[in-house]
Amino acid sequence: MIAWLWFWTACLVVAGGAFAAITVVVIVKGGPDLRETLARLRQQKRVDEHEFDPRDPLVRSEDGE
Amino acid sequence: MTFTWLDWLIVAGYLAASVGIGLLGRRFLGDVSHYLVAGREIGPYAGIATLAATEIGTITFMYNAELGYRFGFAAFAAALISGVVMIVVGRTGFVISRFRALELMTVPEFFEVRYSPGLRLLTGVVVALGGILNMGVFLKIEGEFLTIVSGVPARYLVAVMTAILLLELLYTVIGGMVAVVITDFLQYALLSIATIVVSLYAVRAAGWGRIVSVVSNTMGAAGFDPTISPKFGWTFLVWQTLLWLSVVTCWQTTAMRMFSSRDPETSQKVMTWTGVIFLGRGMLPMLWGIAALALYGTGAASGGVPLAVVQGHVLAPIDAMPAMLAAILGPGVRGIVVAGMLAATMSVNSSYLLGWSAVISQDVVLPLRRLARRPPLGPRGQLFVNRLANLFVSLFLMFWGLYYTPPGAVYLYLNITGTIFLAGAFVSVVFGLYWARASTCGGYLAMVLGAVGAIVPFFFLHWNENVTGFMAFGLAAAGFVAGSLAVPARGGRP
Repeated sequence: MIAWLWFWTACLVVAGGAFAAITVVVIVKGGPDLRETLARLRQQKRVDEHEFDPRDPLVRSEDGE
Repeated sequence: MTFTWLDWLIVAGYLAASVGIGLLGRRFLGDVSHYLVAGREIGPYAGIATLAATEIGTITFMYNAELGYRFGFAAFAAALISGVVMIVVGRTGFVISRFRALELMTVPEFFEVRYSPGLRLLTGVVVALGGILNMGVFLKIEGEFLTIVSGVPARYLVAVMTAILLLELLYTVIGGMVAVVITDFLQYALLSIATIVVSLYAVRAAGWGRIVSVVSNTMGAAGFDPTISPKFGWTFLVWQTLLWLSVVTCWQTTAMRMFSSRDPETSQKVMTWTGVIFLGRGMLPMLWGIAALALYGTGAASGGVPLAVVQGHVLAPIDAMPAMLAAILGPGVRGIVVAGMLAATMSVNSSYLLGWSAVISQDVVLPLRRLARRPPLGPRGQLFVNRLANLFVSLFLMFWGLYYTPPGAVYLYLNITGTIFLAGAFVSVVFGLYWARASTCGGYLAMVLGAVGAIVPFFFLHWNENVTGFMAFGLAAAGFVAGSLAVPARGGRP
C-alpha cells in the first residue's frame, strides 16, 4: 500500500506540474498560432471565392501570370 | 444562493466574450471543409488547446471526481492509462497519421474509402447512436454542477440546461469548427486556470494527510491498488487500455482534431502533448473527489463508501465535489471557477454537437440521398444539413438528459455507450489500415457484433461494465477476422 501511495503521489506531482507548465506554453504560443491559422483560412476563402474569376489578382498570381 | 454579484459579473462577462468571439468564426467560413475541419489549417499549439478543451468539460470533472470519491487513489489508474495511451499513439502515429494523410472529415468516411458506401452508412448510424447516447447525460450533470456551486435552486435545473445548450448552439451552428477552435483557445486558458486553482484549494481545505488517512481507513489497500479494487482489477485495466486506444484514434471529436491539423506531423505533436495534459485532466479532479470524501464523507455507507453530508443534506458521490467547491471557494474565486467550468462545458458540448451532427449529415443523410439517386448537395446545402443535424442532436440531448439517469458511475456509462461504436470502428480501422486481407464483410460483422456486444449485456442483461467492454471488443475482432476470411477481399480491394 505504501508503494502505491508513493507511486500515485509521484504521478500526481508530475501530472499537476506538467498540466500547469503546458497551460502556460499553450497560452503564450497558441495566440500567434491561432492568428496564423485564421490568416491561412482567410487566404483559402479568398482563393475559393475567386478561383473562377480570371480577372482576380490572386488567381492570376497563382498561375504565375 | 452562494454566488455574489462579483461572481455573477465574472460569469456574465465570460459568456458574452465567449459567444461574441465564437460568432467571429463565421467570417472565416468558406466551404464545408472549413465548417467541419477548419480547412485543415490548425497549427500545433492551437491544436493542443482545441483537443484538450474538447475533451475536458464539467462532465469530465464530475465523473473523475466521482471516481476519486468512490475508489480513492486506485482511480488514478484510469487517468494514467488515458495519458500514456495518447502519448504512445502520438509518438508512433498509430492510425492517426494515416488518417490525416487520407484527408477525411469524419471517421465513417474511412469506411467508404477502404470498404464500401453501405458500410459507411451503417457505421454512420452506429457512431451517431453511440455518440448521442454518450453525450445524452452531459447536460443534466453539468446543470447539477452549476446549480450546486452557484446555489441556484434545483428547480431551475432545466432552465440552466437550456441556457447552456442555446449559448453553445448559437456559435456552433453559425461558425462551425472555426468558431469552436477560436472559443476553445479562450476556454482552454480559463478551464486550465480553474483546474489549478481548485486543486490548490481542495488540498489546502482537506489536508494531504487527512486525504490519505480517509482513503486508507475507508477503503484499505483497495483504495490505492487498482489490481485489487473491487470495481477495477486486471480486466478493467486491460479493457481501459483497449478503450483508450480506440478513443484516441476513432472517437469522432478527437479524430476531427487530427483531420483539422496542418499535416500528419502536427497531428502527432498535438496528440503527444495533449496526452501529457490528460494525466492531469484525470488525476486532478479525482483528487477533488477524494478531498470531498475526506471533508464530507460522514453519511451512511453506500457502495462501500460513506455518502457525503453537506449542511444536513445527503448527497450522491457525484454531487459531493461541487458541494465542496461551493463551501471552500470564496467570492470572486467562485466566479472565476464557475466561468472556467462553463468554459469547459461549452468547449466540450460545442465540439460534440459539431462532431455527431457531422456524422449524421455526412455519413447518414448524404449517403442516403445518393442511394435514393438524388443529386449531390452543393456547399450551401451541405452546410444547411449540418446545421439542421446540430439542432436535432440538441433537442435529443435535452429530452434524454431529463429522462435517463445512469445506473452506476457515470464514467463507466460513458465508456459503455462509447464502446457501442468504438469496438467495431476501432477493429475495422486498424485491420483496414494494417491488414491486406481486411474485407467489407468483416467490417459489417465487426460493426454489428461490436454494437450488440455493448448494448445487450449492459442495457438488457445488466452485466458488469468490464465484462461488457471485453465482450464488445472480442466479438467485433472475432467477427472481423471470420468475415474477412469467409468472404475475402477481391482484387486487392475489399
